[in-house]
Amino acid sequence: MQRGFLKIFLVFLSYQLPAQIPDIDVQNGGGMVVKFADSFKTEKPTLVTFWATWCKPCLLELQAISQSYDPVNSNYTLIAVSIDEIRNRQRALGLAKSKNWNFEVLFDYNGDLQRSLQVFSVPNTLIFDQSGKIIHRSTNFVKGKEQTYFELINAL
Amino acid sequence: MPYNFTKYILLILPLATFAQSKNKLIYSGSVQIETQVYRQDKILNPYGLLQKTGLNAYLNNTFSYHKFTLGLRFEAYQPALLGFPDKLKGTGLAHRYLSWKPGKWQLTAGHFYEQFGNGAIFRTQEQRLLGMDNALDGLRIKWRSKNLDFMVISGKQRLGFEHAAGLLSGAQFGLRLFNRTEYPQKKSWKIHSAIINKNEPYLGILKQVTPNVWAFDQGVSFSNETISADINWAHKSMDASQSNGFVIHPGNAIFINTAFNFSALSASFNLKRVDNMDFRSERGETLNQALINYIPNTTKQYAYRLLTLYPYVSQVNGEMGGQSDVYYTFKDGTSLSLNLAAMNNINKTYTKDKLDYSSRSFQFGDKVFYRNLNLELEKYNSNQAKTVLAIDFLRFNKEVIIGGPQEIVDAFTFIWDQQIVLSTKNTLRFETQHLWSKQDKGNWFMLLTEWTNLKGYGAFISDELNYHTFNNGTPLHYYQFGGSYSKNSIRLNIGYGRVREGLFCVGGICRIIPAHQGLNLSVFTSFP
Repeated sequence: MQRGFLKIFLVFLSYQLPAQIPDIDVQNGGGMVVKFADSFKTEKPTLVTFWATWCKPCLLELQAISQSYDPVNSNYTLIAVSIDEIRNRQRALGLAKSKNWNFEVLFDYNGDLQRSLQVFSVPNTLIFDQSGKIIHRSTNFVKGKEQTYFELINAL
Repeated sequence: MPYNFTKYILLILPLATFAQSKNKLIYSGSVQIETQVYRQDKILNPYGLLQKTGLNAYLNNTFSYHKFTLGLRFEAYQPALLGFPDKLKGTGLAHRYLSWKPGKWQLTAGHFYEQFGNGAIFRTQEQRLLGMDNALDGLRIKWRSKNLDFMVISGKQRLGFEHAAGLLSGAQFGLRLFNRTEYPQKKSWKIHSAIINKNEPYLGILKQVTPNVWAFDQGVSFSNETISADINWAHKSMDASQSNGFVIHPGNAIFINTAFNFSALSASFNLKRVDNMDFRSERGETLNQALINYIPNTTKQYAYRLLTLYPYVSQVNGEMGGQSDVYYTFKDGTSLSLNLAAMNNINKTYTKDKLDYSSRSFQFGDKVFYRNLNLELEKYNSNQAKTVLAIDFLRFNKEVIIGGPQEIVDAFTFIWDQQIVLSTKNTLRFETQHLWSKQDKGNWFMLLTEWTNLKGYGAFISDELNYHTFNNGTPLHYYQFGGSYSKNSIRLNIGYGRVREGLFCVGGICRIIPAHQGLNLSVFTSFP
């Protein structure tokens, strides 16, 4: 039976079904409820990374990506979704401001976006193409991995 | 486990096939399996452990079609991992909902997670690592326009694979006076007001127990480019329950948060006072079960291992204090952060029958719960190296926060975290930590070495040495080693070693983990 379970599990994994930007409400830095999808720009791919103030690899990843990111001139949109408790929002925003991050920080205040995108750990980074399909997902960060993201984005 | 879990997967497959064929039905899902094999360890568990293995498995599925979303989550506990709630037993459909979202409206039937205001009177959440899931199973109606929002909820909370006894019904109204969403260019004001009722029948003999409990929450917040502030106030009517000793005193809580964000300097201040705010949809429940609301910590959340030895847990029956957090980034990218936190009790003067008490609103109690000073320096030596140095002073009321005999623990901790990029594909990280204390279990020393590879491989070895133990005077090693592999959406972890007893906390909610030794394996994948 366990073999059967394994077979079905593997068959299940082989399904590559389409996904799209979920219609989920999140909070922006001002505490306003906004649609997650509204942060996407249709003409550019979007890199979405889930992070938390206490997650060291997340901060390393954001530091690495943000060094070359320009919201106007970069060929992709960067969105950082904080999974911090909503009352730690000020700590997260303070960190972003202090590090001079020039990308949008959103807050998944009730975890709906994480569940919708199957995010259960951080860092968790997804790349959406211009049509809103997920083309890449990463569940860890090692220095140098940001180049992989850039190569994938440049290929779109 | 495999029989039922396989059955559920077979149920999902036709839906997934339909999703692929139509190409309009959108599917996403994930599988997570956490398993442990426990080994007998006469030093850690002289009386043995009650279970030899533990397995938690989760199969999550979301189907979206136009404005409809269907969610199904199956869970298996065969049996649950050590430290998880007793009510998590067996296999079953634990979470299911259907949501419809036309325009400004959203209707949800089934399980959902939601909160009013900052959560002080109502918040449902899933904290999988803690075995906590208090989703509301019922109906939710939401409406949101540019400046107004309104929400009505009703249902019963999840308790294991069943429901808690109380029926919850509530509503929230919100108003945004300046709806400029392009943060941080514009300022905004926001106010909200919420009410919730718990109805839980009672057939016992205690006269102070009432079936209906009401709670209210009001809040106002302001933010602009450099300053943000919010105040929340919550009130709960008489709610005699096991967790508060069946007192008739009403509950209340106030939270004040402010933050200043300048170019390189940011500072935040959080204050709170909480009195009798344990609120559950089943009055006999304790620990993390059937919680209706959420009172978060206003202390710093730590990831370094020795700093998690003594975590603060919100004392919902009475606490007062706060924290300040200052963060500064130098021009070369070096950052310095300082956190100061202090929590005390609130003084209570009880009536003769011990059923009620009085307390002064703005007076600190005389009992120290928690004091913490943490200073952390993070420096990027080059693109190839990063150093983190931290010192931490702590005073911790172990009796109140963890339980056991009366004891105040004073501790000083030093941390050195060094990361070195060996090549374009390999990174090494070393952690050296030491905690000095004359109380509780004495001193701790920890070494960790971690290797990570750009292809997704990783390995680590660590040892926590408790070298001043009062029970037998001999050093005790908590060694661990393991590996991981991560590729796209697949992640595998395997490890072996000893785990010390203590509180494992996420966002101020904790579960108690007994000391154990064994092998752990976890698999996670999501699709697509």
